[in-house]
Amino acid sequence: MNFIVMALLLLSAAALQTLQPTLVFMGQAKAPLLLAVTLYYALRREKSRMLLAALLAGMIQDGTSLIPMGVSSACFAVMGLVVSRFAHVVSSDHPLSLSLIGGGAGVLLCLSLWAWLSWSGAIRYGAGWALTKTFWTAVLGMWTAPLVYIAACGLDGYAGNILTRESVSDIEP
Amino acid sequence: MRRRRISIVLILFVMAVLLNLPLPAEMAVRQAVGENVAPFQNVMSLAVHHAVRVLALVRRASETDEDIRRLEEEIAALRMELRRREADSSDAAELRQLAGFVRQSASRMALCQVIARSEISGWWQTVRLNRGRRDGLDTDLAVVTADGLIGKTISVAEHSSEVLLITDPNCRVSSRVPATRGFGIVQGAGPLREGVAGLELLYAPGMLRLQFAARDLPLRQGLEVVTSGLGGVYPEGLLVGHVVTAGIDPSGLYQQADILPAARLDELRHVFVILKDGGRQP
Repeated sequence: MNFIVMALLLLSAAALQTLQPTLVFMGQAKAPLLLAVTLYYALRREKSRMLLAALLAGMIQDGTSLIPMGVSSACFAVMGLVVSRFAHVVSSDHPLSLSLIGGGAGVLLCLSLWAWLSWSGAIRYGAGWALTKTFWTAVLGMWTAPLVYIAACGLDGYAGNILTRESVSDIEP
Repeated sequence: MRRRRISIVLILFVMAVLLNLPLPAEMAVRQAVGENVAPFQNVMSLAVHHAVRVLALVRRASETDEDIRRLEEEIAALRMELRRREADSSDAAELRQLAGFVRQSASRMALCQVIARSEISGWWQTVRLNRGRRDGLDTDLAVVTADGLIGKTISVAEHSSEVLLITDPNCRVSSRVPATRGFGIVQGAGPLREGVAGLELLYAPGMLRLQFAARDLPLRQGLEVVTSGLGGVYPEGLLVGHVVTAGIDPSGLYQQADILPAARLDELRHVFVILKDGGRQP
């Protein structure tokens, strides 16, 4: 059931991320839904599941774009490891914490992809455009991370993969 | 605990392998992933398309006056039916126009449907088509609509393919301006250009830039730019766009011009891939 939920989350995130329209004044930034799924696993689940989610999310992103295979997986894994390292010191259920984590991870992901792709000659965009894209990715990431976290928690809770508040309150003393 | 450690090591190993894959293996993995995600994208794309149409109908219907709501409900249902028929008829007209375009064209073409309008990471300007190698498509084939050139195939899987749009800075097209007999290279100008102002920044259709044109070429607004046929990817004579402005480039050696693409790249639904001679018409 864990794997089915993960696959459903990743495929839905991938389809929605692809279908999102982009705006030129936002540097064609997209809401980082696949990153948000990885962040959910980093905050809520064990490290092995987070790494599996990062690997699959990265493979989907790279497989359906022109990014060299493995680059996104590595970026997602690094973000996930950093976030899971500090998950215990933040109130991960609070929307503000999730927003800040989502925004920060969006900035790091966008800048690292820009640096990597520019260095390899795959894209020809200047720093100004990259900063515009980074800013808007951060803004979209701040909105996306809490929403994806709530949706993923709900789905995982419904499938019985995690204990939700409701399921805890159902347990009789 | 031991099992988890093993799985972590295994996942990290797979990531390292992915980063160091040789090109043929990387292409195989990329195609396998693309093939498996494409049907999901197709379904979502269709669902969104129909949802937008239904929402538009619902919005129109909800504007009716409360007092005559009951009567309006009946009318709305009829309108819905009418609009469905109108949409079907508009689709049929579009397909008839495309069929006429195929008949008058000398090249063999494959009609494809756009299943994803933008690339997942937002770093490139691409679209994904619902046909692939199995339908005779290959990489580096020109992709057009009845209005003009839109790009070339860059990645082809068994049942789907990726098209790099001409507005992407990585796309270069050897072109000529028939009215002046001049040649140049048309390149995607990228999303943010100097001098672009106002509403164009909100959802710019994407501009092109003609570069390396001779200094003395009399380029003026409205002139057609077509493919030159040089380079081997794009057949000769495909309409690329029209000149908007022209001027001397910063080096002072050549002339450059801003080109507005002839095809509406933001409204792509059906496109044609121009097959090479050996290609099989699907």
